Amino acid sequence: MFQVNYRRTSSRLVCGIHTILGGKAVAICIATAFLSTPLAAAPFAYISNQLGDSVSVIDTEKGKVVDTIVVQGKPAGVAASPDGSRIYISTPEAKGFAVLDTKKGEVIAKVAVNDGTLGIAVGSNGKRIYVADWYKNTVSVIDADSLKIIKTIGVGESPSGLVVSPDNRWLYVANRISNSVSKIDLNKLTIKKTAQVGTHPFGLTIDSRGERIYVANVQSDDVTVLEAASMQPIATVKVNMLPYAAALALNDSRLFVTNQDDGSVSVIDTETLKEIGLITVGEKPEGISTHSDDRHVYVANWFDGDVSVIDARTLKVIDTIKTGEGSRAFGQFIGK
Amino acid sequence: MKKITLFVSVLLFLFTAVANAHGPVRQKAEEEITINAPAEKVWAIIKDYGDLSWLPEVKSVTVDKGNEKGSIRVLTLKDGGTITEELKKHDDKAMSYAYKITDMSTAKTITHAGVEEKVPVLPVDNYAASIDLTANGDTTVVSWKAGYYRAYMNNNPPEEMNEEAANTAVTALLKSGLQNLKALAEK
Repeated sequence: MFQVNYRRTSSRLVCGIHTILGGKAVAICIATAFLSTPLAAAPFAYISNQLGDSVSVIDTEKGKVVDTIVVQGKPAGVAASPDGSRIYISTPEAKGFAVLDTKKGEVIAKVAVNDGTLGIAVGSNGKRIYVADWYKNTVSVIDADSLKIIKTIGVGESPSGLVVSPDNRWLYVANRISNSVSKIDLNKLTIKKTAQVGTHPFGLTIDSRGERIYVANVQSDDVTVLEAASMQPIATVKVNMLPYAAALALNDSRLFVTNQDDGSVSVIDTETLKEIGLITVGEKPEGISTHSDDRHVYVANWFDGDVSVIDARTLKVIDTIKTGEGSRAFGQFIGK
Repeated sequence: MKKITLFVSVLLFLFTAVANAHGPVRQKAEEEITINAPAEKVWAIIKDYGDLSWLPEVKSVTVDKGNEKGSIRVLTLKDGGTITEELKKHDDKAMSYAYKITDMSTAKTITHAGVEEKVPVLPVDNYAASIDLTANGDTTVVSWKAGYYRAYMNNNPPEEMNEEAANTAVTALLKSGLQNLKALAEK
């Protein structure tokens, strides 16, 4: 765990120098990333099995499920705390979320929030949890220590995916029915801006610099690329049937999007903003997250109840791991 | 006049908003059957998206673009109800196709929590399904998979529109369809 943190800190530091020294430092930054990859410890992936009322814990080094934890209330959304010690799992039928202690391997708390909790995210510093409510059109802000609700913010209709900027300054919310993304100021806990995107945005992700948001629109079968600062759309990229959620890999150079109704993952080159590949995975792929090695992408296949592991370099499925009934894993389900 | 127009569009907007939400937990149904006939023979019975003569509940079908992606078919059921579906994928080589329900007629209207609710002919929402054939020597395995939400879009569903009602109806449909397909193909 320490090594992972160290790697992240050091490469960020080098990248910081890059802004002062210009071109030359870019090479150092990339070299650091390559050299440090083998240092990364294998984290765990936490897959919510909504129809099975459980969470499968995948040891990513062994490539298999090492534990299955009962989580009642139809677990759907997953958010791993930055240090990997806690996993927050939204439980819509239990009207709240569960807190999983990863060392103990058990649920240590259940928090009542609202009627239809779905999207869930945790702050980049691990101090706050954000939970969207599908029915109440709100995002609740919860203190991670006391597990008390600090504030409930009204957003667009049927808020779904949530993502926090790497600097912990902003929270982006996909409002499925309003066809928009709201940007919430995490200091003031108010909406700063709302941008219209494609039809029925669901999952979304942000690059590691906090500059771009990628939003999967389930109804218009495309991805809206937003500039995070201005919330202006940069591009709309057509993908396949029912794009559900997205994740970045290989230094943000490739975007992977699950196409729920096509049983596939679209690969987009983030420089040209063109689709460069289509990878067949299981049936009804939903949640997608990138491993901390920045190379392997994990996809939860809802219908098949398993997880496909994609190598982002070769664009091939290298492993399929059996999980449980209705694997959904909507959110950041791999600890960093 | 302007006021009325505005009022109507607000109503329409609200209606659209409500109609687009769905229950929190997606359901699934999967049925499989082994047919003692070669895959080509079974596929010949079902491959035309506009032909549902193998599905007992269906009286007639109209289709607009055959087996082309995006083709819309309207099923008229024996009890008079209608289901509109869109073809999402059709693969002759793989012997499979996938489709989605885009509209349905109302089977009955009930009152729940003080509100009139329309129960669709198939009590589901956001229904997508696929049917796949796998050749296995002289026999064929047919697999029919569906993913959907319950018909009721808010919390605390009535029993006509809950998960159980959805699962029972879909499972019955898939089962009777596959059994009839087997009977036809093994003739």
